[in-house]
Amino acid sequence: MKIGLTIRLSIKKTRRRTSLDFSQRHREDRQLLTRLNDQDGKSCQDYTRDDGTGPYSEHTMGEIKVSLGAALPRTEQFCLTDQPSSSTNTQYPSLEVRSSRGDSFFKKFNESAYEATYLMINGATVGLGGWLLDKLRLSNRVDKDSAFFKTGSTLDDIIGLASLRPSSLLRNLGANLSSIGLSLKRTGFDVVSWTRNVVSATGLASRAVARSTLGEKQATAANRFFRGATSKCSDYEVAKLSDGTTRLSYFAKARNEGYGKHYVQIIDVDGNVLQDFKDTLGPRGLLERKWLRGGP
Amino acid sequence: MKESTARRNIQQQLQKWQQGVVSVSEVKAWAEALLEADTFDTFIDDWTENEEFSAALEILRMLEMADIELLIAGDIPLLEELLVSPSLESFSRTSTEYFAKVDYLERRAALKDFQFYLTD
Repeated sequence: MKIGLTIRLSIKKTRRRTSLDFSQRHREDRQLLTRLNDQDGKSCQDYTRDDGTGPYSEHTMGEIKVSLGAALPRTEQFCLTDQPSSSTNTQYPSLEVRSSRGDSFFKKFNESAYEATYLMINGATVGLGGWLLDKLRLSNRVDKDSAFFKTGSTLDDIIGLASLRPSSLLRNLGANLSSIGLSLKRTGFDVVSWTRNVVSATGLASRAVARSTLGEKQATAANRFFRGATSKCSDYEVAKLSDGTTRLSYFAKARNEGYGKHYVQIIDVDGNVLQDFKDTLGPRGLLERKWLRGGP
Repeated sequence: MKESTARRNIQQQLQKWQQGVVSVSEVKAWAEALLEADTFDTFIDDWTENEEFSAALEILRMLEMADIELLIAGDIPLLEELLVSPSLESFSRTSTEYFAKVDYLERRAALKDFQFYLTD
């Protein structure tokens, strides 16, 4: 099979992959999916895991089934689902991947994905990109010794990345890294540069970094929003939405495991606040949404 | 450490809670109302720019999350201590040491019959 691929990475080798076993995670998810399918005899488009987390959705790509978690409640997912698919997968910070196959794996995947799953797709994209680099014998430019690229179950690892729960990525692991940076970290790299025209949501390391991604008027609004965050907040995000507005958010994790608050503001190009709300999240998902401005 | 009206107001509220004058849900509602106003223009006066730290803000946020943080009256001495933290570093150290000793499973079990707390 011939695949034309253009890949541009702005990365440097730093360290090998950490001990997190994505394959194991995927096996666990797959077992659960199989069990649920057997029990119900139907396709699991949406389901909740035995431990009460979720909802998750199942995406089928050929023979591959991927379990994707919804970090954000469905009512919030409108933010990016109406974006043209061409803009969702071709522009990531420091990473650009294009496939010459018209009806590509990536495109199909992304067209059916929700905002929360884009983070997983980042991981899958990087993983597959690395795998292809290895197959094309170009991996001397990256980390050829990485166990990630040497494993015989690389594709399984990719899917494992994709099946990581967003809460794990965003809250436990991603506090100091962007989603893409996290994926690269896991595969042995460090991100050294960023592009600013990020379309999909981007985890940011700090309030300062979050603010720095905006223009002057929006930065003023972001200053006002982000300064309400405390020292234990994380997952600062600036997401430019398809309608020209910008979504700002951060997360405050409670010490009581599984709980937290997600603070969200949507501003226009002039920094005017269009929507302002906070979600209380628990192990089973959204517990309460409190609208402060622009609610229904 | 400069005099802070915000910290003093919060301390007074904590004392009311400790004395049973107000309930934990009223304390949470009070904190929420402050945070939903433009807190920085109207309340927070202990912000340090270099650390991006305000003990008053940190405590307000904790109180806002009292139902999911499972804060109880027994935590009030800690909150009062945190409220006078001179720096982010000391605030973080003190709170981390304290909450590391809290058994949340035990606390969830103890609070499961109180409607205010989210323990499921």
